[in-house]
Parts: sequence; structure tokens; C-alpha cells
Amino acid sequence: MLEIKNLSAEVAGHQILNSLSLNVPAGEVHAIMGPNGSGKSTLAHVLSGRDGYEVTGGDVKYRGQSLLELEPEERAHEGVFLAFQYPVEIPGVNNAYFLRSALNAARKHRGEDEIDAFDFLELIKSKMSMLEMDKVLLDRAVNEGFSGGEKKRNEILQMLVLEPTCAILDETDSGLDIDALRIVASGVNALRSPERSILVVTHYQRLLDYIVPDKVHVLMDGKIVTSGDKDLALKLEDQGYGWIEKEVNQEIRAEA
Amino acid sequence: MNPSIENISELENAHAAFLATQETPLKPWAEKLQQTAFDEFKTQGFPSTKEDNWRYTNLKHWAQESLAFAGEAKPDLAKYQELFDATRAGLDAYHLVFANGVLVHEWSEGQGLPQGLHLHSAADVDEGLWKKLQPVLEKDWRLGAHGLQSLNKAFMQQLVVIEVDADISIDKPLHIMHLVSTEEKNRILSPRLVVWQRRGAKMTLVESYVGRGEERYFTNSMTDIFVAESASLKHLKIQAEANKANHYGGLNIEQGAASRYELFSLATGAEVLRNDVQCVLAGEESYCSLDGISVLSGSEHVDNFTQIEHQQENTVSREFYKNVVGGKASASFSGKVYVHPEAQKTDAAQTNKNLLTSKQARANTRPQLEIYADDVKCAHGATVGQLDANALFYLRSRGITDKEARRMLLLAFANEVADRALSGTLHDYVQSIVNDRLEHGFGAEES
Repeated sequence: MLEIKNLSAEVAGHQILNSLSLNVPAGEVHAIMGPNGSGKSTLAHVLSGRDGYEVTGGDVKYRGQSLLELEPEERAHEGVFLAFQYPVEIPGVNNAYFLRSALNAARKHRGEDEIDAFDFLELIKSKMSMLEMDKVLLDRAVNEGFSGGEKKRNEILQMLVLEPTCAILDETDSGLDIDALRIVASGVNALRSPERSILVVTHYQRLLDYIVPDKVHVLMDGKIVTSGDKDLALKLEDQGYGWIEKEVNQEIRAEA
Repeated sequence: MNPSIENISELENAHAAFLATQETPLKPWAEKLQQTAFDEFKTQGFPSTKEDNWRYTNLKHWAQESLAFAGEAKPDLAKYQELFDATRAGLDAYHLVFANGVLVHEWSEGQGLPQGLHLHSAADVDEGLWKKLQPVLEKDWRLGAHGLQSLNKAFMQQLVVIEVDADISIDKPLHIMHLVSTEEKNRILSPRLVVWQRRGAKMTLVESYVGRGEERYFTNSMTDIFVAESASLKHLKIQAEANKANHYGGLNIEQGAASRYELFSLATGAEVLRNDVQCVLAGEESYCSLDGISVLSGSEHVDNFTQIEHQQENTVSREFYKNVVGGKASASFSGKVYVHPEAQKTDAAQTNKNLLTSKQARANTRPQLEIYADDVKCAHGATVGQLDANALFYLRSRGITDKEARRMLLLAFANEVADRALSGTLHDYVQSIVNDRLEHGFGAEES
């Protein structure tokens, strides 16, 4: 589904991603962990097509086509979704209107009619109940004045409405209390299916208790240095990243 | 003779032609006034950018063009039907419609006006009305006179006098439309509006200036509004002139004690557009709000020049102007606030926010406070910025196209003014005009 091959990227002249390779097959949930500054968020941004990130090498294939050539909205139309670490507040743009515009853009791309107002409201209300979101958030401006937890739930709400085939969650757990974490995770789990792949970027193992990954990768200095199953995350939680750094350094010395 | 006027003989011919066509009951009274005003204009000329108040707006091309008086011939209504229908759609109102400067009786309210609302045009001015009108027409502008006011008087044509009796509330807005679809070059239109809002009266007044066509024309309008004690007037001025139109709108408001005047001014672009608003808070506890949205692209220019005079205690003024400026367009805002020594406990606040959507777009903003009382609250703020790149990316990452995302963000920016100032059908009416303007002519080339 998502094949990242030797991807290198720069931000303002600084190399952040360093020949990163990663393969997330359909139906799987992969987690990317790593210390601060390892390139986790850069990877998420490059995949979603944000300005300011220059790809200097490698490629990203999504369902066989190159993702990097597509505009952000085209990536969304193709089923790629990024849940933002810091969701943006947009004063003056009504949340319900925004969600409906996004859904209709996807429907239009698939050659379907726009959803009618009543059906949309039914749909959105059922998803909001699932995320235990207050309905008044629909009538407010997008994320404006939302609490940290409400913003993150609003991201997951968008994901549930848009039903992407490839979802990337960028530190969705940050700023969530334990109850909110459970709710957000149940929203993500509801989306798990054999046709979808999900990439969870996180600092902490805690989220992975609720969204159990098929694979865990460790990102350091812009590349995947080790991969394993969910137990790798537990080991990281227990021992930190230091031991991996040592192993990597030893490998480099051995190669030399 | 003012040296700025190079086309004087053509102008004199136009004025003679204008006076010759005046067959209304107004003629015997107004003729002398109009001749005097024309002579005054010849001395004053067009305002020059050398004058401080006119720094940002250049009208000097009119000194070379041969301004022509728009005739009194009855316009071909079929040509205006579409404009009329589009302008009245969505707003249930009493109508008064001018097409190319001529009153269209077929589309205007005759007998159907509510009790207490009196409407007059040049066709039914009598001696009694003239006696009330003359001092208004001859009145000096408190805060500086210039040639365009004289020019309006000299060519005064679409005269409308509105009077709302004391303690009367008018149930629906009164909608005055000035529709222009001229194929002739350099027509000058000189609407004059006088409004007396008597003690305790309430009304909503909507003025629409709507133009089509590729020829340049000049709408030179003047409005005097008197809001008596405890009266209130909500005033929407919608300027949706044709691309090449020039528009000067002089607006003079005087308010009595505890009165309320609210202006909402929407400009969707013209070659040159200048609004002069002078509001005098002459009674204690009077309140005025001046709000505006301009949406400009191409090489359009809008200058909102406002002056508020706080003359009495406990007077309140609010200003909130926003401009969306693309292409090579430019927007200016000047907010003069003058607080007299007597006007203690004045509360004045003004905000001007500009959003530039292209590298060549420009915005000028000038707050000017002159305060001669010591117990006052005066606040002002201005911003010039660009579209929020994070917000744009956020919307696009959800599948909304770049063009649509920009439209959503620009509409949200502009609408803040309408959301605060208007409600119900007036709000929706304004919003649909702004939205329409953003959908047409604010494409990707603006970035």
C-alpha cells in the first residue's frame, strides 16, 4: 500500500530524512517511534505534501503511483489522511461546513453526488457520539477555542468521515488524558480493515496499548534503525533509546 | 479657474446641456444654486493627491476626460431587468430604482409605502420641501469641502428626499438602487440623497450602486443624513460598480442625543472608489458604527476616508473595516476621530484589517486621533497580512482544492465584519455578494 524507498528530505537546508525505507502493506498498522528530532513529524509532513520540505532523494509509492508528485488535495482524494500533531484553528470557517466540504470533495472525486444536508448530519452525529464529542463543536469555527483533546478528537472525526485508505497519525496521543486516549484509539481501531493501512507516529508506548500495531519501527537520525513487533515498543518504554544508539554505533564500527 | 481642469469647455457644454434638460418642479429654485456650484467647482477643480486627505486616491484623469452628462431619456428597461432582479433578490424591501440616472416608476414604490415614510424625488419638490432642503444643499461640510461636492450640486440629478416621521418604525428596508449599464463613455451621474430620521424613528436604508459594461463612468454621489434624538438608522451601502467605474460617495451624518447610526459599506471593486464619511455626534449618548468590507482585484482601488466628530459627552463610535486585496489593487483606510473638549467620556474604537493575496497588492492605513478632552477612551488598531499558509494547507490536506480553500479563508476573513454588524436577511444578502465576488476573479493568479 505505502512503500517508502530511500527517502531523503531537507528542511531549510538541513537534512532531516536520510534514505528512509519503510513498507506498510494493506491491512496493517505500523508504529513509528523515535526520540525528539529524529524526523518523525517531517516524515508525516512529507507524506501529506506540506510546503517547505524538499525531497532530495528516493520515492514514495502509494498503491503503485508516486505520491510525491501529487498536490495535498490530490493525496487526500487518493485516500491519504494526516491527523495533525497541531490541528490548525481556522476562525470564521464553520466546522460542520468544513467537514461537509471535505467529504463532498472526496465524493466528487469518486464521481458521486454531494451528500445532502440531512444525511450528513446523521452521519456526523453518529461519528461524534462514538468519539464522545459535544455536538456544539459542529457549530463553532474549525478548532477555534477547542481544548487540546477536542482538537485531537476533531482530527479523528475527520478521519472517520473521510474514511481514508492510508491514515497517518502524527502524535495524536500528545496532550490527551487517559480517557481521551482510549476514545481516540477506539476511533482509530474502528477504521482498521484489510483494505487500509495505518501509520502511527508516537513518542510513547502508551497509545500502542490501545492501537496494537503489527510492526514497530524506530526512527533515528532520519532513518529506520530497527524494527520489531509490539514488544519492541515495550522494550523502548522500559529502556529508552540509548541501547539502540549503542547497537547502531557498534554496527557502524563493525562495518568500518 | 482651477488649473487642474483642462477640459473646461467640454464641461461647460455638459453643464449647459444638463441645465437645459431640467424640466422638474425643482428647476426654478435649484437653477441658481446649480450655476453657483458649477462656478465654485471651476475654482476648486478635482481633488489633488497633493492634498493630504487625497494622498491615496487619484482622480486627476477626469481633468482631461470629456465628462458627459447622462441624459434624461427613459432607459430601455429590458436592458436593466437582469440587474434589477439580481439586486433585489434575497431582500424583501420597498424599492426606489434609477436606471442610468432616471427614476424607473415601474419598479419603484408608488402608493405602497407604509405610513410615516415620505419619499420625494425632483419631480415632486414643492416650496415647503424646498425650504427645508435648501439649507442642507447649501450647508458647508464641517471637516473640509472640495470640488466633488460642488460638482454633485452642479449636476444634481437623482434627488431623493426621505423623511421618517417621529416614533415610526419602518417594517422593511427601503432599497434605493442605482443601476448603470452605459455604452457611452465618461458619463457623470450625480445622485443626491437627503434623509431625515425624525425623533424616535427607526429604519433600515439600503443603497445599491450596481454597474455593468466596459465603459468608464463617474458616479459622484452625495448623501446627508440627520438622525434626530432617540432615532436610529441602519444604512447599508453596496457598491458593486462596473470594473471601470469611478465612484465618489460623500456621506454626511449628524446625530442627535441618544441616536444610533450604523453604516455597513460593501465595495466589490471599481477602478477608483472613494468614500468620504463624516459623522458628527452632536447629541449626548449618541452612537455610531462605521463598518466596511472591500474585495478588490485587478487594478481596483478603494479609499475609505472616515471622520468622526465627538461633540458631546458619553458619545460612542465604532469602526471596523476589512479589505481583501489581490492583483495590483490597492485599499486605503483613514480613520480620523476628533474629540471636542466638551465630549468627556467619549468611547471611540477603530480597527482596520487588510489581507493581501498578491505581491503587488497594497494597503494603506491611517488612524488619526485628535483628542481635546481628558476623560476619554480611544483605541485603534490596524493589521496588514496574508493568507494563513497553515490554514490553507490544513484545508487542502482534507481534499479541498486550493481555489476553494482560498475562497473559504477569504470569505471567513471578510465575513467577520458582516457577522458582527448584521443579522438575518441583511447578513445573508451581503454574504452572498461577497461570496459571489470571491468566486469570480479571485483565482490562482492572485497568489
